[in-house]
Amino acid sequence: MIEERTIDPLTFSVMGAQLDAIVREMTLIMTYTGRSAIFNCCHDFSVSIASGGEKPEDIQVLSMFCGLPDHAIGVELAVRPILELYEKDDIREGDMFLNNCAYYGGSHHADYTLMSPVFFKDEVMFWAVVRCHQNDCGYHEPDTYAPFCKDIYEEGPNFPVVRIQRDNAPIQDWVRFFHMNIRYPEQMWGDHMAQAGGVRVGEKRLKEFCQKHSKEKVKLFCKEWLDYSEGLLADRIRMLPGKTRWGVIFTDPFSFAPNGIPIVMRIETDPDKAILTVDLTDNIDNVPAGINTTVQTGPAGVCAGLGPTVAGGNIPINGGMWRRVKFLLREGCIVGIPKFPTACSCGTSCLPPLMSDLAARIMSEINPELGASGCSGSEASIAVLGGKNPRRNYEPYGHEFFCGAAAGPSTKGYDGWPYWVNSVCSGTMKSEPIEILEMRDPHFIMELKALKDSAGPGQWRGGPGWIRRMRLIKDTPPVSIASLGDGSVFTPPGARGGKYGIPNVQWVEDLETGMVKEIRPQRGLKYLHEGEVWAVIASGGAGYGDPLKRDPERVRKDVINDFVSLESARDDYGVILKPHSTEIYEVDYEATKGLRKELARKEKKPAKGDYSRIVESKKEIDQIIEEAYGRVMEWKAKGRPIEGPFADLGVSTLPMIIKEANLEGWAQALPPGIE
Amino acid sequence: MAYRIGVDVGGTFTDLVLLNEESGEARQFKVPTVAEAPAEGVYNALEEAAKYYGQNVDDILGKTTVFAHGTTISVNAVLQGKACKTGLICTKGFRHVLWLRDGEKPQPTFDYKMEPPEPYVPIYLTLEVSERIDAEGNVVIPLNEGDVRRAIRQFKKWNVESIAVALLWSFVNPVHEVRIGELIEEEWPEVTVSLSHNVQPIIREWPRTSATAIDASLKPLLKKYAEGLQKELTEHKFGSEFLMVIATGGVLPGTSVSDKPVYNCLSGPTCGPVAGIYLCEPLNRKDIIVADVGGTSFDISMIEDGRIAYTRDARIGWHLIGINAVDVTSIGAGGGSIAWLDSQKVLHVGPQSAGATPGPACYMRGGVDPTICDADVILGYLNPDYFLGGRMKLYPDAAVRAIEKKIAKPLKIDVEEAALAMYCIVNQNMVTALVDITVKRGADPRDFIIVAGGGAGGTHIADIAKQLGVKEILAPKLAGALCAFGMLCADVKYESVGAFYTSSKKFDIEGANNTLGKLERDVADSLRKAGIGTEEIEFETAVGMRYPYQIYELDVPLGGRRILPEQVPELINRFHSLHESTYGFKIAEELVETIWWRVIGVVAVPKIGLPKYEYGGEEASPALMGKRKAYFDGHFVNTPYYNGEKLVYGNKIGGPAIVEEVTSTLVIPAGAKATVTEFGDYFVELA
Repeated sequence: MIEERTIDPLTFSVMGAQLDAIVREMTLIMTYTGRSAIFNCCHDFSVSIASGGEKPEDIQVLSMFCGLPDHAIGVELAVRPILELYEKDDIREGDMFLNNCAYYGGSHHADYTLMSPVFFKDEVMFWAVVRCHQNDCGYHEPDTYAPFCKDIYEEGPNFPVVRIQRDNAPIQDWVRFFHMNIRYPEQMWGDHMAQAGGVRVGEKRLKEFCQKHSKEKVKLFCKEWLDYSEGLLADRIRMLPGKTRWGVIFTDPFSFAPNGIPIVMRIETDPDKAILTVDLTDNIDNVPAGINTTVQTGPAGVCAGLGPTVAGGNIPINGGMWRRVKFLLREGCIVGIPKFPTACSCGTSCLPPLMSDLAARIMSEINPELGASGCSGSEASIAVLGGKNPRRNYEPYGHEFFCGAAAGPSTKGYDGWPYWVNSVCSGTMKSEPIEILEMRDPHFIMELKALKDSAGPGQWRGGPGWIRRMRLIKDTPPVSIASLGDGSVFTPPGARGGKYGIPNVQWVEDLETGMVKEIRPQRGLKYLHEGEVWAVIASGGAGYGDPLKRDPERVRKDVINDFVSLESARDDYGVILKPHSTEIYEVDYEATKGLRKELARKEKKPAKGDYSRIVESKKEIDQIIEEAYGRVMEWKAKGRPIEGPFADLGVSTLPMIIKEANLEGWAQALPPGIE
Repeated sequence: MAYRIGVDVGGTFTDLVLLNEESGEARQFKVPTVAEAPAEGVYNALEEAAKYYGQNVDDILGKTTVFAHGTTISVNAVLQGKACKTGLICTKGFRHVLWLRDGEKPQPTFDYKMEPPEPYVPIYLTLEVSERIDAEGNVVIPLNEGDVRRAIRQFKKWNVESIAVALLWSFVNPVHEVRIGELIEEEWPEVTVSLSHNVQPIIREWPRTSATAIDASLKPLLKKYAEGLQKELTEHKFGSEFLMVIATGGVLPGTSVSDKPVYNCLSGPTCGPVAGIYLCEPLNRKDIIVADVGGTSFDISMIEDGRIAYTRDARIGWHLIGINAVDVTSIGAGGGSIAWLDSQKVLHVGPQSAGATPGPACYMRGGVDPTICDADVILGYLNPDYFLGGRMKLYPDAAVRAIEKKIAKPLKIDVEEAALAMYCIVNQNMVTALVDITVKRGADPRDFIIVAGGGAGGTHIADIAKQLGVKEILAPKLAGALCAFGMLCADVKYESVGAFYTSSKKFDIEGANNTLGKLERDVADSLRKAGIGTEEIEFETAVGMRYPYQIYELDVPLGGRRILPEQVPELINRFHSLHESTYGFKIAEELVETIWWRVIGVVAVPKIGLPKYEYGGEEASPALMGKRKAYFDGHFVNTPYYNGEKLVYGNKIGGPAIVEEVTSTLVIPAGAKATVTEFGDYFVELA
């Protein structure tokens, strides 16, 4: 319940701005000092400040400012176990802890969360927290996603909250462990020091923050700052109509699930109580692969889709706002609470983007002013490459590729952005410059181009996707490529009549002949040899709203910019263009009007393959699932391979214990009951 | 008699500072900017100055030795998309460099309702040619000249006015860009061309392409402007070539700037820190923050150990200018910033501004939103009867009404409390921006002195300084025209940057010195064209260094024009220490790499000497105008206010007090002490 604020308006705003400034400073330090591209070019890390306190549930995220939504929302779950695992006297100033374990509130094995207590007058007032995706995490192959791990034992080292620094210095046990288990240890230790540096800067500044204000005021502020965001989100929910909608979205096929895995979500809005309920219980059990989400990654993925569409830009993103979102999670469910020793190694990147898209699209059906279309799930252009680098004397190198990736979704009134990665990253990441990439690694980029007709048409169009082709430089030994990959079969879905983006594709060409040698399965590890070209298409975002309502002038611009072909302008948008002397084309308004009328009549039939739909009942969901399976068969019939290292293990959909959880509730789920 | 003139054409006002070289007296003049014909505004300012001295413009210009000029013409052209229609030639397969940018969507994360930025050159005017050079400079795919000719003809057909050429790796091997330049000369000799290896020969395709595209788009425009202005000045008896302010905080002859017009972007504000250095020299302060608070924006720049801070990330709107420029950070906070409440009744200020029209509520020109200026009036800091020296009246009742209705009543607090909250919040926004610019460089703001410029600078700066823990402020007499004044102190500067990789493992001395030699020749050649002999040039050198795999280089001064083998260890150590002082750690045993090398040719403009006032004792009471209620330390106190025109060298004023200058107001908080310096500036020491 939100009570009257006691801190005066002035101090309140100022303290909030100060916290954001601290997060920014921590972020800057890491960007400028990190070694791996995912630190210094691409921003695959998130900085946050969490409140202190005696009990685990007191710890809540206060500021995450420019963090990745999927990283930083719910990051407090990784901090809370510290209070349960260590005696109070054993948590000291100068300590630093590491957590990368899904069963202790972590996200996935490759995200190292470093946390330090911020002491002020003998009390932990805050936790300075930095979560970073690592370039390597000691998995048995040079991969940091590992979608095929059957259980946690295959993931590589899990650190279920481990102390790595005491008295502000690395503990030597940890240093030895790190250098023996992590590939490219020099580069990776550089990254690790940059990450720890970010935490320490935060700690220092937060102490000054406490000094500036009093201890009591800081405590009061933490409470009221969380209440403030909660209040803002509650206000937004009160403006929504009270509705319930179901939605379903599919992963691409797995060998154990050759028809893909449907993810079902129910969202209910209750404007009177100002609560959004998200029900994820109606999904299959944990699968023997790394794609299971955790108590953090699943709900964070949903929040990443809800936040922008409900809260918008002017809301401090903190733990308080999510109190207004109630989750129904089930133990042992693929998008619930994982059952030990289920693997969650790919639990941030496979399902959460789809869940985020689904949530945003459900919101667009609840209120057309809100929501967004879908964008690609994690596709093959994002991959971890590893090998030996002839540019650097054949030293081993590892590099996670973020260089042109899936484009952004569209929303009412706005077209999609060129580079989004996926909807749980929401444009917070960056694309690595081609010249930096070529200078450093044995890579030669042959092409990186926005692809015509790759975006989903709509009244507002998705961002156009990318094609990237790459080869190795001379005398490079074979390089491993571990890619994620989704959205080859089930492509980014549109919202409110907007159309789908194109599929993600990945193939290998022969450099000499240019012939396609092989269409590779999207996920998993493969090798690229000299003389071969590795090519990927990263899908465009989907459309929002009926493309026949798009301003013809925008369509004309898209055509002259080569984002949309003349054929698509005609068939998808109903726009006829005629040549013009200087500006290449002009709109034939007369012909366009006629064509649009004609197309509108045709469009009344449901579009073929409209499998990811938002509906009003569970019954309709079941029908869609059936329909979608038909589509997969059709795709298979064209002879494109679906492969993976597993035998078909089958999946049950037995309902298990249903747990009602919200952010406070999550704490009780930790540490897990290990069976 | 001889004069020096600095003219800064801003968005709202054109500021002119005229310096009498013999007496050293400097005077400022302000006239409205003529947006559609900036040169006209310049002339109006000259007339205003001439009138003051009872002369005509020809008399003044005939005696003028230096005419330095900063203009927003480039920045406005880029911002408003009014530069010349430009075609871009790029490497086949990489047509979308300007569309992809660095991929980032700006904050806030949860704001999806933003249209992706249009690329600076539309994609249809970006044409690919088959060619490719690799990271080592090898030609992997030879240039297809047919593609080039086709592109040129296409541009011609589409009435393009200027052509930019930006190929991958051209800075390592420019052979294809050079050939394209020749082909353009052959096909279409009249069109202006910018080649990326000339404009910005350093790694990273986006900044280089962006710089080249902006450069090309400004070329015809700036050439016309520079020639027009020179002609007009010459007709009015000005005897030499005028100087144009550039992004590096230096000046260059107007015609040279139009050869590399991208350097003209951010022309005016870059002289703020130049003024800062000059004004702080008598105080012997070398760590300086220059903060300029105007009506809508708060511009800050930084000087460390006497060196201006630069950035490679300077942008105009969405567009990266890509060159090494004075780091001027600008946020939407100023006198016109509007205060508002969100649905949870939390108070915010800005970034929206009431601008000059309708302006703050207290202007009574139709503005109804409460602004910072309104708060300043209610708090007693601004004198409603002496705004702009009494030329404009302010209406406190209107300020009260606006704040009461929109802020105080909904929050159930009184108007004064609301005004105070607005004042503090806008100050906090400025504090955050100052923390940003300093920590980015690992600097502690507490070690700095703040120079407060702009009309609203003096009113807010003491509170900001206090929050940052800054102990000293300098509020210059010429605060209102700080940048125009800076232009008179700016040296001629021409820089050339080149990529050259080597590392501490096996340092390639010869390669490094060859690079330095080449860059030095480039600088000397360009300055020679402007009539400056090599013997007049002082060369400054620096190296961009980093640990392996980092992508942000530190700017390490080299110390000499060439490097000797025995100096290498010292250079490497300098990098380690700089890394430690900037980012808090170093890895001494790690390899260190060099990425780029830079040579700046500096030609010192003779230093100006401002007149010193005669010592007039500590007693300030002759300038005391009276007392009025103003807010200090939790309550309204009867505060003395002084007329700045009447204060003299040595006068001391203890806070709380207010000093009213014609274009600015200085608020001195309780416990602080202001002293009038021998140059008539205010040196404030905070408690």
